[in-house]
Amino acid sequence: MIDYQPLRRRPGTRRAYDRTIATFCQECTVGCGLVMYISEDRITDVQGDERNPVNTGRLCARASSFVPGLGSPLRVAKVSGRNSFREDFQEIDNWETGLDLLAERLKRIREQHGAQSLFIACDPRSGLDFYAAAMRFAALWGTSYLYQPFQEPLQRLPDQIPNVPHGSCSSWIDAKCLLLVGTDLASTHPIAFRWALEAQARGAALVVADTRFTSTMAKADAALLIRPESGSILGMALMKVALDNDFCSSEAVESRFLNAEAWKSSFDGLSLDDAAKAVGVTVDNLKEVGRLLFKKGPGRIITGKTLARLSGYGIWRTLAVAVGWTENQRGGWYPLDSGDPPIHACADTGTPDWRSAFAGTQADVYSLIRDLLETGEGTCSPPIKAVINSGDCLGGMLSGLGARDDRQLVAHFTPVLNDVSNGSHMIFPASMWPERNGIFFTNDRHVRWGEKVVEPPGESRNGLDFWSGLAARFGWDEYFPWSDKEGTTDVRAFSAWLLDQGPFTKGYPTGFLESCADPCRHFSWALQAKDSGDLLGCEAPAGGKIPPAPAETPPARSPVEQAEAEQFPLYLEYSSVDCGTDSSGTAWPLSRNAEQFPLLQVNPRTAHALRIQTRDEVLVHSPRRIVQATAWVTRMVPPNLVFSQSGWGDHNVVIYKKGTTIDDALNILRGVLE
Amino acid sequence: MSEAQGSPTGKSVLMVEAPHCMGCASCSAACRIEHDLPEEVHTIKVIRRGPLEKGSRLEMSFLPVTCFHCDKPACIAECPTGAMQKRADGIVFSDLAICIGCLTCAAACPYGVPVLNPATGKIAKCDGCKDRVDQGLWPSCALKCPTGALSFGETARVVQDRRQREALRIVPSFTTQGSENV
Repeated sequence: MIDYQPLRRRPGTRRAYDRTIATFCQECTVGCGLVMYISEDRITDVQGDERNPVNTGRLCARASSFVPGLGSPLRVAKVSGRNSFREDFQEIDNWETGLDLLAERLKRIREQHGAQSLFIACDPRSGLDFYAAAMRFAALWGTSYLYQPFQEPLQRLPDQIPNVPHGSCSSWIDAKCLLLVGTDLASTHPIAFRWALEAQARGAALVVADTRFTSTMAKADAALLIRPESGSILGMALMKVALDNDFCSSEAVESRFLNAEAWKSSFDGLSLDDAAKAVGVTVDNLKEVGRLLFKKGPGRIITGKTLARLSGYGIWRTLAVAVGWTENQRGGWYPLDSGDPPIHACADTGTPDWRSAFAGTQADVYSLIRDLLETGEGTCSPPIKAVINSGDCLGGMLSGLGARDDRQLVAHFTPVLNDVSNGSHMIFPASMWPERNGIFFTNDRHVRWGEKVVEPPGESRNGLDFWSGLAARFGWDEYFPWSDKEGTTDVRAFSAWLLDQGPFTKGYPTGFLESCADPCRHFSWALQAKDSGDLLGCEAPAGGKIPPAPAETPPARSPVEQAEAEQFPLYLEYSSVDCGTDSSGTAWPLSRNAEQFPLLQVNPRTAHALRIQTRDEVLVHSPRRIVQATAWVTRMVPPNLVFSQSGWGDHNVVIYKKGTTIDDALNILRGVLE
Repeated sequence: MSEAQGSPTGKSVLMVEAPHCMGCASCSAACRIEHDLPEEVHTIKVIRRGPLEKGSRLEMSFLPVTCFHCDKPACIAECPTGAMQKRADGIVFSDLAICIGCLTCAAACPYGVPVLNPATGKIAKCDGCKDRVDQGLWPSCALKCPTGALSFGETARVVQDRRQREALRIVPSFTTQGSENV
């Protein structure tokens, strides 16, 4: 026998400090514990909290690197504005004067163009208070054009069953197998991914399906490179494999599913050949992966945020239940999009059914927004004349778009200057998360309260200050009662009120938020609605059953989409979500210095045919725009796909080297992609 | 691949277990913040190899690379000012008060480890987090590494830990207590 004693970690700082503050990282939604070392009200060092069960002292690059950002030379500290894009920004006397000017301009636009001419975009990094208060303002104002990249959970209606993560990420360690679909955890959430790797070291099978060969896929025991937007079809194909090979738990199916027989028979018509073709793999691949997973089980199915908008998304919960994994502590479904509970922030505004125009849509939201902002066509009537944007959530979308003469007002609430600022009329300085109080939810459903650690620079304010101040100028003070006469808001009181607006979070006692700041206590929002007693999907239903997702035929492309795909045969995938600060440094052979333009990953076969080499400047030509990029030739992408960290709502593109033409490139690409 | 980098005297080593590395660059960021280095300076790098085609499959691996703190460091032999030094515990470091940023050490190093810090005009290289180690702390890169691909300790202890973990991986029932992979 081996009496194994792990190496003893020796944490701490070498730097001088007056005090320490234990808090939680808000760079992403994993919820790592941090210890901040403070000297003279400055953060001198940040280390992981060894007591936190999620990160146990470890930190990713983002958690280590946020402190220099607080003092970035690009930091905004004063309100500034200008009348037109041709003018330079002028400092505005103070925050209140800035809000006066903003309200005045908004009033004019509303009178001329109506309420729907306002578009609001919320960067998740602006805080839950910014987003929830923006929802209230949008409902009072009368616009449904409010966008937040991960907005679904908060806006879910009471009668919809939320998808909830089953267990915490640290419990992945006990799984016998893990299926990761559409998520590059090694890059976006490395601290969570360590638990998957630990499970693998203990014998679990790690299966990864994604559109690119990612760092996560590099660690997989079995990998499936799938076509873009085919995630749900993969789920249905695996469900079909489980049904055909008796991997399903008949007990779970009978006890948990409504109309189980009808559901089963819906898969009779699903052709595995067709599904495999739609996914871009072989039937043998599907069967092999299915056998690996279902024989090894119980396991976890971990799905990425982008899958949540695909038709048939519910197949992942259906699959986890049908194979009996949800009955076991080692198994279940862990949707990365669903750590937030449903909260109805607008019930008292006179428009209780208010919802964002983008909530629940299965269309490409980026395309919808592009149509709204660029052409004013499509779902937008009348066109957008004013934009209030926070942070960088529309980075690639708005850069260049803001400077349109027919756009009368772009206001930017941001801690740092970026491309969006260049196309704005007004800039309001925002505090960053260590500089404000705030509530947030982790992927594990934990409710966390982050206390302000340091003071924000200059006139920087939190999101609730911004919306409360603006609402007051429209006479809506009564809907924002958390503000004092100086315009400073009580985010703690607002957060407690907000929790009370959710069927799963209401009724917490006084002092609950303080408990959520304790690094050694971990509160998950309830899996049971406080009033109705309805149980959620992943928990054993007490008498209730869930509607399983039936087999669906892959949606056919419209003639217009088909024609566009033929004319622009490469698929541009983009995601701005990455572990961040050091990602460019690891993108060997390029470094940040080489990045005059966004990096574009191109497969060697495609690149060779088009005579493109790494570092070449290339043009990315879509039906609506031509954008310059720097090529990075890599097998991380398949021949028919290119990848960038910024996009503008188009997916069908052609790329070509500067100095060549789109027609030449098209002729070559058609040969290559056949 | 596993390799111990550091002291020839057996006092302490940084263990690099490349198969555990997922390429997240946490080590690189931790080092940069610990030593106040500019964003473009990496004294520990994660080299991504691949994806390479292996038959019908793709393979990609990661290798964290930093100073090997050589037994007989060429950088020290060539340094014209005596800034590059080796401590009794084996850590090779540059005394920035003396360094003139001539890059002779960079040319001498067979691994290309020393780089110029454009913010100071002096050399930047791994100093083994000597100031932390002197206070009994782990180097920042090893402490923050999410997967335990980097670990730190006395040579014999680090190697023993590696062997025991491998034994327990093969036969988990050998253990008398729950283990944490450090």
